[in-house]
Amino acid sequence: MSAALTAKECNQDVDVLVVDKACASKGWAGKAARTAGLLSFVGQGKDPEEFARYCLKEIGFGLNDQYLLREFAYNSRRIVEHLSNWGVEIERNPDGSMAVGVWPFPWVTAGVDPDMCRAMACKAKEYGVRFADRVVITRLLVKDNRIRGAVGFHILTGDFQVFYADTVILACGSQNFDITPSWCSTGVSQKLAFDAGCRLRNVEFCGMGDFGRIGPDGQRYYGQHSGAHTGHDWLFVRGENISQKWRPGFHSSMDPYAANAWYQETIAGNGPVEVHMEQFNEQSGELFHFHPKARKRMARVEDIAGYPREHEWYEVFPGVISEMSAIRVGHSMQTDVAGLFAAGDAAGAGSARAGAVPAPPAKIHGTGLMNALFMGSKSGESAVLLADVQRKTSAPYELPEEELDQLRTETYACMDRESGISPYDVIHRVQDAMAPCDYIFVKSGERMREALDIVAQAKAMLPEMRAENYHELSKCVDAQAMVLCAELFFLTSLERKESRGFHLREDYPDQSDQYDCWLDVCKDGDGVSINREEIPDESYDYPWQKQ
Amino acid sequence: MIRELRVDAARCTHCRQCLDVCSTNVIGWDEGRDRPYAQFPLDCQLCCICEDACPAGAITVIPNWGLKYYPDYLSKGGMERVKRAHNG
Repeated sequence: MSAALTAKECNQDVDVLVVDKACASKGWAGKAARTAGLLSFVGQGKDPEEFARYCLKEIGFGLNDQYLLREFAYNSRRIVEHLSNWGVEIERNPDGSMAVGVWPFPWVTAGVDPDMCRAMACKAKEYGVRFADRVVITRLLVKDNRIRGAVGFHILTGDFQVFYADTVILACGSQNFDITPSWCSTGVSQKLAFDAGCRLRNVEFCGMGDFGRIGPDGQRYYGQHSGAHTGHDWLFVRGENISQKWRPGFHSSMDPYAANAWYQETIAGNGPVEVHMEQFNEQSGELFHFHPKARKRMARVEDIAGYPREHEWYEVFPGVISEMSAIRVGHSMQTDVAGLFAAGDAAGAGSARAGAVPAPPAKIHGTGLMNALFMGSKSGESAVLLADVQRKTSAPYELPEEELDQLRTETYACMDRESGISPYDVIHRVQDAMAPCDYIFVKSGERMREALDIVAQAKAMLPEMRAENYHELSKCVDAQAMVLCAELFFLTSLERKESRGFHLREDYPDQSDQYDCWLDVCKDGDGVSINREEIPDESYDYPWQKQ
Repeated sequence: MIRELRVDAARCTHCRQCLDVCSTNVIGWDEGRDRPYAQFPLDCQLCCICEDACPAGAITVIPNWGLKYYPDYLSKGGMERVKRAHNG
């Protein structure tokens, strides 16, 4: 949505169409409404250079694209201030200044209306942006390594849809493998880009530790993780703070050392690991500044799950949040296909701004939405500039009828089968490989090969998938994307023979200079090719690097 | 993973806002009874935004956690290690 708005602000005559699987025209799309309504940015009194340095040393472990990192640091406050032009409500003090939680880190956190996309959709319509809701995109149209549009189907009517475009921005989320409720993106963006010929980057960093709760009935619940982030500093085993034991001090959320601590304590049989809700409440009250609507929504979700919210201990188990957002983009958010851009969760890790972590928010709670706004506004500007040139210099493109027929047949193939396997069965098989934390964030070569065998079983099921309706057809699209992403995750993780950030290997426990590089993965015939990409450290040339 | 999308028929104004807000396409419309229902309950993410968005407060989400497929949080070998450690 920020890309569409920015594109129109750059050139009001450009024709912008937002195609969405949900209902973007009314602002009900993306994760904003389902997250905590937080925006973390480099606010007043915080040093952008210190932000860049902290991210490089403490979060990205040297694998950051420092150009983007610095640009984010210097522009995030301006982007937040610009939101009011789009009608987005941010929590303010009585004097009108922005109400922010101040951390002992180089950023602040503001509370934003979780329904911010509703306001943005209204503004977009005012600008003349068009919308196509409830459309599942199944293939990007690429000719001579240039984007030409996309095809898909309407999830309610089943109608085949063809879109032609001079430029395309992929902004349909990351790959969460649908393990954690509400954190349910299915990675279609990753597959669309990969199939179109784009490189993916930092795939191996796409799993991070997060905890699930064990309910009173003994059931394990992923995703009801309120408290997870700062709570990483307060994991206890029989009264002992194991977070402090394994890594003393106060750290920003989703800390890989803390996550490893609780995995190691669990595996050693020292459980149960517990968190005290009060610890989180105390800190969240001081440091987070939630929007009231977001707080109410979080409370409702916890209510229906029946979790303690006040003064109780609760048992947790080490779980994972996968956040594969690996489409490789450059500084203008451009991919390897001319005219194809990517933004937000689709390309957070692929931009390399965050480094050796799933991305963003990764270790800075509240930068998920910020990342979407930052990348969205950059890609909107880039796409509109290029579209203007494309339109003037090349003839309109239309796919030959026989190729369209072929794409139509491929799109509905799963519905045309008389019998077969449910897409849910394939998804569950992939989840068997993508949920265990000793496959995802505490890895070993042996276990990853075991996980790859599970993924291979899921892959073998794909040709037999059958959909009974268009909703299930969309699940078939999801299942295909999940299988691909899972396979790429383990292949790249095997290739990186070291431990760094959220990529921890028991067989290679140390960080290695040999891997001061990015790993890119791309399609190579029927297989994949993994290549090293040097990090242009010398070109960043910041004074503090020489200290 | 929803057991029931409980709809207070007396309050429902048939505005279909709940259909629009459901990003996972779980909610369908029962044309006969002119009200929403959980068409694909398995895919409900329990975000409860449909409750929030209903201008009449006519919707309550009743979860069914048992519907969700929860894979193991450790590999088979990991599970065995924990068991062995617990048993001394």
